[in-house]
Amino acid sequence: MFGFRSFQDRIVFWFLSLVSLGQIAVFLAVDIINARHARHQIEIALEFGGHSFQRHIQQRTEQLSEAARILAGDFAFKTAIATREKATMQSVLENHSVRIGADLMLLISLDETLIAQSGDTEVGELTSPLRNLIMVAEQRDRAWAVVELNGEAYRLLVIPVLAPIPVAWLAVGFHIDDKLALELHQFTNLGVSFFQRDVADAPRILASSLPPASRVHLARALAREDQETQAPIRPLRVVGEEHLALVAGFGVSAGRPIQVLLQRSLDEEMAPFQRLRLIVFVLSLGGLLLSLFGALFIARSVTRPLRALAQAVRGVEGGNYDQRVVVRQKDELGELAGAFNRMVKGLVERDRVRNVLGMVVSNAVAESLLSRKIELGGEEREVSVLFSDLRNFTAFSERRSPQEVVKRLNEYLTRMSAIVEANHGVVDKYLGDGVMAIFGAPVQHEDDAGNALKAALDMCAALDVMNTELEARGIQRLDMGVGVNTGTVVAGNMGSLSRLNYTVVGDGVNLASRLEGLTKRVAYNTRVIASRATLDKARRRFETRELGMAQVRGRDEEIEIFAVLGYAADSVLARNVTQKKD
Amino acid sequence: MPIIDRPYWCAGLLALLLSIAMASGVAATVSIDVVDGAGTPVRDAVVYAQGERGPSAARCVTVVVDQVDREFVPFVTPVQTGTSIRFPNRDDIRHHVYSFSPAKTFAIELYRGTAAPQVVMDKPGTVVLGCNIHDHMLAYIFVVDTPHFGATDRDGKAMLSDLPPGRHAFRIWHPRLQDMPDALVQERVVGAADSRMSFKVLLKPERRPKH
Repeated sequence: MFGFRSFQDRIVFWFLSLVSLGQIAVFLAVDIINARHARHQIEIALEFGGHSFQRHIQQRTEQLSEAARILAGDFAFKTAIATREKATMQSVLENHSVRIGADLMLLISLDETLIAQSGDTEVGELTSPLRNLIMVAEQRDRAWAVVELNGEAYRLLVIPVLAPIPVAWLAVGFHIDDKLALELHQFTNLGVSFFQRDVADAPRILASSLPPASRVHLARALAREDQETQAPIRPLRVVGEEHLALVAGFGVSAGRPIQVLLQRSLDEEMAPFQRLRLIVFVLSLGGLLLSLFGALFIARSVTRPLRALAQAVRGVEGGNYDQRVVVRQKDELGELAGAFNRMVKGLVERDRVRNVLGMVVSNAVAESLLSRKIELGGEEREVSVLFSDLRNFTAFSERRSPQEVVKRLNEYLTRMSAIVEANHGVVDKYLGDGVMAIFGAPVQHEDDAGNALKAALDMCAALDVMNTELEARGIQRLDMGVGVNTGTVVAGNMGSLSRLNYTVVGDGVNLASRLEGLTKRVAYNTRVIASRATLDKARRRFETRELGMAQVRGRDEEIEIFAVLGYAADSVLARNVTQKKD
Repeated sequence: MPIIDRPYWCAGLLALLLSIAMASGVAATVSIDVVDGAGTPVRDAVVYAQGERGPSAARCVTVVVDQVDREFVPFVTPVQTGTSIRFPNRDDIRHHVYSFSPAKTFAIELYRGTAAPQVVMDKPGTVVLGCNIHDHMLAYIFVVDTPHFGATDRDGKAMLSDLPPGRHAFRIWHPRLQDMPDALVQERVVGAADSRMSFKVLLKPERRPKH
């Protein structure tokens, strides 16, 4: 999933994804809770507003009713009515309207004609709703209703004027107008509108606390409403703004119900939360930025040492051990870097050991030692053992400074060692000016015996070359003897676990040493003596001379020995032989 | 004040009337029963008879409407035109008797005892009495222009006596009477013998001002 090319990208991606997911969740939750809270607040306000509205209307009605009742019982009022003078009665009604705070007052005769009235609305003929109201008042002493008079809606109370039986009807009312709506708005803090639907269900706003433009929008919103499925509290979209509205019946006029609508904008209610929303948004954004930096920091703290390590590993791969990774962290990466550094150091150490080992033991032994598990113990192997020894080197040493002696010896041993190794032999050890070399252990080669013999001849040849050089510098010549034997020996690591040598032991070794010793005999007149075993084993052919049977120290039987003169049918050999005769 | 002059004028009329009655020589009594729709006797119904000779002249008598225990007594008082009404106050508090009825509008402001001036009912019609300080107090004076009238008692019975023989229109009135023109008048020829008749009326439910 998501093929990232870098660890950093991966970390940043997942980190930011998770953090933003969390923040989106928090943001949404806050938003949803706020909206729900606001809705709930409005619902409470609407319910409360609805009750307040009812109570206010009720109170107003009661007040007016009480005032009207007192007024209708007023003797002076009755006396004025009894005058039957229209102007007087008109004047009384106007005066008393002010006295009790009524918007409209009508005096109606028992035969239901209007005698006099106060207020701005010219009533004229009595409409049937008003007649109905009087009918109710006749039965119940008083009657309330919303009545439309000349296009204006009034909440009207009708009571009889008693003297002491009814002599006339007094209608007292308050106007359902913007003033009333505003008054209701002031203590409910809700939008208050009165509306009525006509026969075609089209709403008409009778009065409202809203500004004129909003009324038009409200009417449109109401027109869009599906009236069948309406709860008392319902959402209402007015020009894209969401409101919650409470609609309640307020009266019936001309057979069509007049309804009151209380409303509040959800957006307005949410206004305090918009600030919170902004704060949460900014905080979320800040958190996201911080986590971006955090992710980058964490990613870098991993990728930087990793990159350094990778580069160092590539260096080591290329053979450059001069690598050190610096990681200051103390965590797993720090550990890894430390381990890496130690590893490189170990590698360097091993290389150095290998180099030193190559110097103190032969390369073949070193390789064999390094590549295999080192353990004490040995195995029976058939090897050819070569011993060489410089003649009259002691005498040479006596006249020379130790430095020069060592220099000459080293020169000599270096050359000899090179020849041994060139012939797949292993220098087992240096014995003063002597060399002990093994052929066939630890690594077997084709024709180890032949190699040993060839090495012996080569060593002699090399000594000759060296002698030529020495003579040129006026230094006395040196001579040497070489013994070669082939036989079964025990080869292996010998010594203690803390210090051991790879070497060979056995009778065959001793015999080789003895053969070397035999070369000192002038009678034999040879530099190289080999046993029959060696000659038998060697696949290559050499020019030899039988020296007959020889008694060797430490051995009961005599053995058959040969002087090795040179390579068979080889011109070099012939020359060697010649030189030897000198 | 014309009221003070009236007794003399009434006395003249009375003398004339008596002479007419005496001239005819005979008179009959008609007993009348008034029941409502359910057959229950109706009290306080006024029954009056008007002869063919038209309205009779006013009669100068004085009738009393008492105020006892904050009620007018009687509740319905039929009188002939010209009758003076006295409103003695038998309670130990003042009353303020008034009427805004077109037949007679008057007011006797807060008074005590029997000192109140009499009020002459000079037009036929209904005079509704009230007390300005006691809204529940209600009474009716029904003024007719005939001497032949009576109010039903608690058994719904009234008696019109001294009716001269001849055709009379018998009418009925009640404070709670529903409009039913045909039932409210009965034409009848009264002979020398006593007779009975009955009215069946429909009344509106009783609704008196609250105490």
